[in-house]
Amino acid sequence: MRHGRVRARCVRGFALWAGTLLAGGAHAGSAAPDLNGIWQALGSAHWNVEPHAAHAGPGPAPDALAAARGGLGVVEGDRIPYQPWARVRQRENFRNRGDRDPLRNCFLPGVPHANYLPYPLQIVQTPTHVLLAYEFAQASRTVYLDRPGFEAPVDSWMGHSRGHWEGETLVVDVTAQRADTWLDQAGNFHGAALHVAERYSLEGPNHLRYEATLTDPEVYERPWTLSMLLYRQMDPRAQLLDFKCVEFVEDRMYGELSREKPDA
Amino acid sequence: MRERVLALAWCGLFLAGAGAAAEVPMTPWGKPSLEGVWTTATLTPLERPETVAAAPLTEAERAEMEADAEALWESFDQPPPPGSVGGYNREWLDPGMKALPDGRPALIVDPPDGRIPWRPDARAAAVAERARYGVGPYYSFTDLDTGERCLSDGVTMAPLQPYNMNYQIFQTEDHLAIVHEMYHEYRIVPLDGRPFVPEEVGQWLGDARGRWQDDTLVIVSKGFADKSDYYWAWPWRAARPSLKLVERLRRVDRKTIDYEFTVEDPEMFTRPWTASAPMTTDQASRGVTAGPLYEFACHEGNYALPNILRGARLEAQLAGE
Repeated sequence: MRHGRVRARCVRGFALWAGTLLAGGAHAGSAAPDLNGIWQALGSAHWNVEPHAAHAGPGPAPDALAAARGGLGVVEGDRIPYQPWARVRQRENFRNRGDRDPLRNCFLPGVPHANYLPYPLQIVQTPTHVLLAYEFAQASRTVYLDRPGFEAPVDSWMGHSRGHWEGETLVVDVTAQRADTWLDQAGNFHGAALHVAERYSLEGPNHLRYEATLTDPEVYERPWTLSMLLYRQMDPRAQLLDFKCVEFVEDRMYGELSREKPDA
Repeated sequence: MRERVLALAWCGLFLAGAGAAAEVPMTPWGKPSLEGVWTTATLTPLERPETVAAAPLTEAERAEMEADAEALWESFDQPPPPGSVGGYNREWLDPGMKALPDGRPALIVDPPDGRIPWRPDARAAAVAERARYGVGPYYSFTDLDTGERCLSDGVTMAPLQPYNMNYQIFQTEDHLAIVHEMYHEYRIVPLDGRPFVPEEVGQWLGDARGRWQDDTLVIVSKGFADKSDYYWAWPWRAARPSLKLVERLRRVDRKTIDYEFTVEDPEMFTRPWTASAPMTTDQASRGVTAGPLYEFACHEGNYALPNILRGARLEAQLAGE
């Protein structure tokens, strides 16, 4: 019994020491800020990252709940520096958003849009990994803190994320995203060459500054940055719940191919 | 300082004598670490086939099983017979190719006969469901199983699919996150003793709560959504309110977690039953691909489902319906 206790204390002491060493490797000396928790954006970037007035939703007879909130925008300098053809395409996207917006089919949202959906995300942070779990569509991505040379094996919807700590800031490089995702519901978009440099830094215990610099020489004139706050969910009961939206869009996607079952 | 050196020396002696226990990686807060990329893939079936005795397989029998599996999977690379569109070839599959070395004939350890203790009515329903697979009729997307719809194949980490039997575990002091490669599902399990969510908040994979019992993490899941009207590839895994699942994870060495799950559902089974499916970080020992989890964007590329419905409509049209 006594030996058990001594062993437990030794193991614990050693683990603490080893854990400090490990964390120290990733973050010079002191412990990394603790980003664990459930976070959510409260602004209207989900509807449009650029400044915009409230507007009706898409479709022939939209109701009030389909409408977009107005917003001051989250883009530094207000406007995304699109190449001229890309601005034309964004406007077309906006006009056709009822059909074209990939989120309407419950497709994975991509980065950065996943971080400012009107749904919570949960950060599970360890010394070697940060898991970003999103309520929408049960999307997630793993940020590798311990594998700087690990290149994306293949393109994906949520991209390939490698991170490191710069002082108190978590810096994440997101590469290898498919071109199929949008940046918001207003048709703002990117191409296959997109590179996202993300920065996560606490502004107090319950506010997380999220910044993302988007570089895509095929679509934008120059790199540009968006910035917003994510807010911690303070309800002690808070947890991510199912939003398995595939079930909600099957009729939209496959209804025309379906038939009533004949009576048995 | 001197005390610390002494303490370290003591600890060194102690840990050196601790043997196997010291092989279990520990978290900084003194719990066994469950972190890593794990697979449960194996050739050992969940249920003991009726043709196999309820006794451990010999080494020769295991070797024969593995050779049969090789031959079966090789056949997937052959062109399909006339009239068939075929299925995935070997390139797309990553099945467990090794039987568990202890030779057990099934993953189910209780009841001892290695068989699911179905109630007769539930067994009949399961057999009827099974007979529909790949046959139809396909009136609607709900005639495809929940996996083919890219929703879920249900709870547990039982190795039932021929690919994606990979799990990544992330662990903090108060949460365990398990990312399932299949359908990119994840479960975030609070370990802080909080109550379950109200039952009406039914969840596809249940509402999970974990607690440490000595060196074993026990995860209890209940509060499942009622999705029993859907067609499930494995009906016992269907989300339904009568289901309760208890999973036990115990790290036994650097490469292995003893993973056990107990399924309780008095509406479906005559008694609770338990399976043991060891998880390993040594993917090669199971004959599956090593490496990180990939994104399984199933729904985004689900051409099979609309094409099956399209085919069914065309067949009906040709039949003059």
